[in-house]
Amino acid sequence: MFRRLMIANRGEVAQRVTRTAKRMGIEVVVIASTADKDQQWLNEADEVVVIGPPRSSESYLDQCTVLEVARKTNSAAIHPGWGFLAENDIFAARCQALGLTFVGPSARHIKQFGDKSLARATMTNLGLAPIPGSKEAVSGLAEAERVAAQVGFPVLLKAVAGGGGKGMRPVDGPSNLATGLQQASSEALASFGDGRVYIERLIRQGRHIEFQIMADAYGNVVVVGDRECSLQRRHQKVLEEAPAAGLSQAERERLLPILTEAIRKSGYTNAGTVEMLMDEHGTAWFMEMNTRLQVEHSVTELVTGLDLVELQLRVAAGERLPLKQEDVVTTGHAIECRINAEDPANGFKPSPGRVTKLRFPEGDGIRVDTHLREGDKIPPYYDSMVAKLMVHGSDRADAIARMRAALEQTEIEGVTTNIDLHKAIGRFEPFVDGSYNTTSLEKELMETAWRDSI
Amino acid sequence: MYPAVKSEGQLGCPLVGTWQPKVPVGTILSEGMLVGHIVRLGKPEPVVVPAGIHGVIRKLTKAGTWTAYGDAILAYGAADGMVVEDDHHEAEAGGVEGAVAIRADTDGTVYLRPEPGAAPFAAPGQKVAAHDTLALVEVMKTFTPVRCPIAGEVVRVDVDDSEAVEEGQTMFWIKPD
Repeated sequence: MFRRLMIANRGEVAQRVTRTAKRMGIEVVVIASTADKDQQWLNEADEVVVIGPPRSSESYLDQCTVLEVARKTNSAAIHPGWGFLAENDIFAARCQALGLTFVGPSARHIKQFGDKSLARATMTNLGLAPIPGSKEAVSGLAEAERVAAQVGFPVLLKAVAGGGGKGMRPVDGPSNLATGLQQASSEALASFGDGRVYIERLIRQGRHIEFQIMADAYGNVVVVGDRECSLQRRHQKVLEEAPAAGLSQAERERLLPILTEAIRKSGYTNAGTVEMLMDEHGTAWFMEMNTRLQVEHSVTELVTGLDLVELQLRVAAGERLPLKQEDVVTTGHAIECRINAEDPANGFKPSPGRVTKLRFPEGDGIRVDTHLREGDKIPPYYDSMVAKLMVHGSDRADAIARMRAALEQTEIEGVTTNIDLHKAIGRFEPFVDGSYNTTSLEKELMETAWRDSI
Repeated sequence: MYPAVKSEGQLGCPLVGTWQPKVPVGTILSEGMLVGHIVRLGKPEPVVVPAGIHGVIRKLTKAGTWTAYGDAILAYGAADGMVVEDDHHEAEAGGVEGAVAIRADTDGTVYLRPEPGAAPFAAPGQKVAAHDTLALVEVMKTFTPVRCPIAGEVVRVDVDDSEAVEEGQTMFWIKPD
């Protein structure tokens, strides 16, 4: 195992990784921008290096500086966390070139799955079906017409270089295809510097289902359960649960061997998430693969009792996965509410500032991952997510009951948060009965009763 | 970017790496002067004197010292017969008579141009209409335009592009028509 690990991240992420590393007896080096240099999570590390001004591009994203610090502090490995440099293949390659272990997949796999069109083609070849559509970017209108006729309208035109919900355009019928294609392509060129576009069948009321993957360098692949993240606002996840509420046992069992085999054949190592979109018939199609641990990994930890950061570190250090597929046992149901410093009544405007009061619930079945302390100032430079409030219940109904109670016991003052939105979700019928989809939050809850209440 | 310049007279290291001074104690500093290098990943990066520092080097951090961002690499004081000026923003801190101050309504990062390399939204001397965008303020990855409340002329800009601003900090002075 590594003697020393550097964490190239901040806040809750840095704290989360620090705690597991310290428990495993690994020394921890953390980096901080000047905006973060007095924050509490830094005290848990063995060494702190101030690396730059508040702006991420001059601090947490400055690869030369991050690598210089890792080398100088004799760190053997770098954990990128999630966000910042976690999905940067060049950074992963530079770590390797300097003899540092990047805790994550190889640079080759990050690149392969980071390009959406390449990822679709790769997974198709490996036997995991993507949303029906063009295999790669379409060359022109003639090909677009052919593919659209094959998969059937409506279709979705997606920028190859897009992401986070940007660079997508729905087309209802053949007569709009030419205009749509031209607009999608010029938008993609303007936004991403890459005008290539591919076509998918538009799944209107899909559900976001994802599978947690863990793989070692010896061909062992384990699917560590599934999650559902269909409650989204502007394509950003708001609440996640494990196991996936909408996934049938038959579909889960159909996918498990296909996923395992695809990942094994790809030679992928470390943690990854296969994101899928489930259509109205309950069939899940490959969307994309995230080559890192995700924010919502912790709901999987709650239902499996595993520490995914520990598994990441073990695999990165060259150990074999200490578990097989049959060892993964899911108990009960877990829910995560992302608590963001933003004002739902004011168009979700970010709300940084001083936290004057902070109280989170404690007790059985509750886990709160946060770096926040009462009196802290939330800086305006980074993500607005300040805490993950998680509950674990014996079943889904029990978990929802615990979620409602936990939210009632949470108090954050000084900054505005989205806690009231989560309280409304706790009573939102499509969520409670498990029938929700990726449009429910924005099209139903936020457009109706809840909006009138704020 | 250089750390904030303090009037006490220490130059903070702008990068993380090994410090290699190029000039001796006693050197008179001037804006843009090369004082040494920071060796980062084996590559020397120049360290030049930022604006607002005038003085003579009194103390120099030892060559080969590994420095974090903001660590002092040299200390300076006023040279004989020289007046040490404060940070250029503070020096200009007075208001502009007959002009309206446009202040930041939140902490954040201010951008004076729509995109890097583009012309600024509002340069001194420029006429602006009410509701014109003067700048963008980024808070947690969300960009909010700073709208001009009145029609008039931009007489002074008190912030640099991509500078961190605090709530209440004056960014622009607008002389109403």
